[in-house]
Amino acid sequence: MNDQDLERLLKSAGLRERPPAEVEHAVRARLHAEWTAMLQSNRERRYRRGGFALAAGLLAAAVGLWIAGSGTSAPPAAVGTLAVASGEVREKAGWLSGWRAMDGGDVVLAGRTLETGPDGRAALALPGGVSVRVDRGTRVALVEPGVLTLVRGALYVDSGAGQARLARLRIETPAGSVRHVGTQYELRLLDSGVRLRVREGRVEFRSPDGAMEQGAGGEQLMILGDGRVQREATTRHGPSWDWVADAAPAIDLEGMTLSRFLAWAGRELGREVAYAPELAETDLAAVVLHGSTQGLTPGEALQAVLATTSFSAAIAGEEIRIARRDPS
Amino acid sequence: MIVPGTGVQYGMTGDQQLIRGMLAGDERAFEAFFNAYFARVYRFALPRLNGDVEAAKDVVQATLGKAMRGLAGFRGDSGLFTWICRICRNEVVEYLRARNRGAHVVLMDDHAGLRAAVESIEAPEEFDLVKSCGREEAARLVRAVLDRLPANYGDALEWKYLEGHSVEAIGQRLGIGTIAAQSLLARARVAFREGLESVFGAEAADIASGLGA
Repeated sequence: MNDQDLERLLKSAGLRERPPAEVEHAVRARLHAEWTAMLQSNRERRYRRGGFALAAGLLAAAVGLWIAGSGTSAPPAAVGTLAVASGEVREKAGWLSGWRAMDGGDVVLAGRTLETGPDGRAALALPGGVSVRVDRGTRVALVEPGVLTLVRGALYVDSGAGQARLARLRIETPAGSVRHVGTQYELRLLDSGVRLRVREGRVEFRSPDGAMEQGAGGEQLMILGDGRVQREATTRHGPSWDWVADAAPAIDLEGMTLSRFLAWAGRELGREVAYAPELAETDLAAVVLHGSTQGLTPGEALQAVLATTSFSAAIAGEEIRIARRDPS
Repeated sequence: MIVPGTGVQYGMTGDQQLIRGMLAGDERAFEAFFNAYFARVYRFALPRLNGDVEAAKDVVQATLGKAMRGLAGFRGDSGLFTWICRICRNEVVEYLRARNRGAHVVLMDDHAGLRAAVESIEAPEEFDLVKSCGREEAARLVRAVLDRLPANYGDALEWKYLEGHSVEAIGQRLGIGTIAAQSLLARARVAFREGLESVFGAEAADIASGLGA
């Protein structure tokens, strides 16, 4: 077979079909997440086997019990709980199984896929105080505890305050993976690429080839289909963030101080809480709240709660300004 | 196989090296695995699913996931791609059964005799495939032979003969030198010729003529 024959044959047969880029990206992200989970699971199995060998030499009876415990097939690990389910929210265990409607309070398990319908929104409560909000028309694979794959739509992550900020969560997307370093951020799959908006803290984005980008509070990173990253400033509040507050789980008010409630509201609304000069935060810490804000958005809850106190709130620019209510 | 753009080679001593890398958590091995098999498995699945891209996506995802999880037990009785194709065929059947989409799609290389020829690339067929199955199907089989060559061979042949890249450019694309690219192309040509003869029982020139080139 000479070169001319080969060229003639290949040209007459035509190019092999290329899979669509979005399919390739999606499968790569899912597969990479599965591979990572598989490696982790293998490591844990090896660790358990190592533990077994050690224990066998020490205490046969204890080993017998251990074998009895570990010999049964383990159920899927819990990823977290569904804190909010509004409109259509459903899950399925694999592509061979059907969809199952979900309700608030359901446990979400590793290996499942969660989906919100055109009218659905959800919030997941993950270990360590991490809250993940799921926008309308979103599909997310719950790969394993601490690892999610965004298949379509948008997620918002609030890693919480204090120690909870250290809780780990990785989100895989077709363009790469995202980890937070104590933050609030939104991740949205668009036709043109992956949009990452950081409200607070820092986020690390890693592309499949290992390149890393960081986004800081007030920054938006647009990761285009060809891997280029466009960076620009973004707002931390406003209409494009409203869906996050709509999907926020209600806060348990009972026994909470007013200052803590305001800190929560400020975080949910993407604004700093500023106190009028005559007020000290300790004034508000002395006010203990009772009741419920069930069914209210954070903005509505803020107004409802303050109406029962001698304080008022006004939104001005980046701030929620708290002042003593005019007695008149 | 070579991770494009890096020159890192996997599988020069067989699939076992790739499998070891995958099981050891080597990202380059994952890249090599994905780049070597994703598109080929997709092309394998798509016509069996009536061209349904969403279905192919699910099936390829499931196939590669299952293959990945089974790598530790892969015995190497057949090539890795052949083994993955078997998994994929089962996934397709399961998918169609689960969705009750009616008749099973039977393609040329789903016939037992021809499938064996295509997969093993050993036993020659006695009949003239171009005449018996038509131009489109024969062209598809030529592309299927490319897919069944060792990883990178099919790509290198397409780059050279269909896209007109120079040997230097192919070497750069694969992250290897020109000499290595030349050597890879030579091996690819031999493997392709053997594959064609196994499937068609004819030489490239005759097949090209049969295809109307």
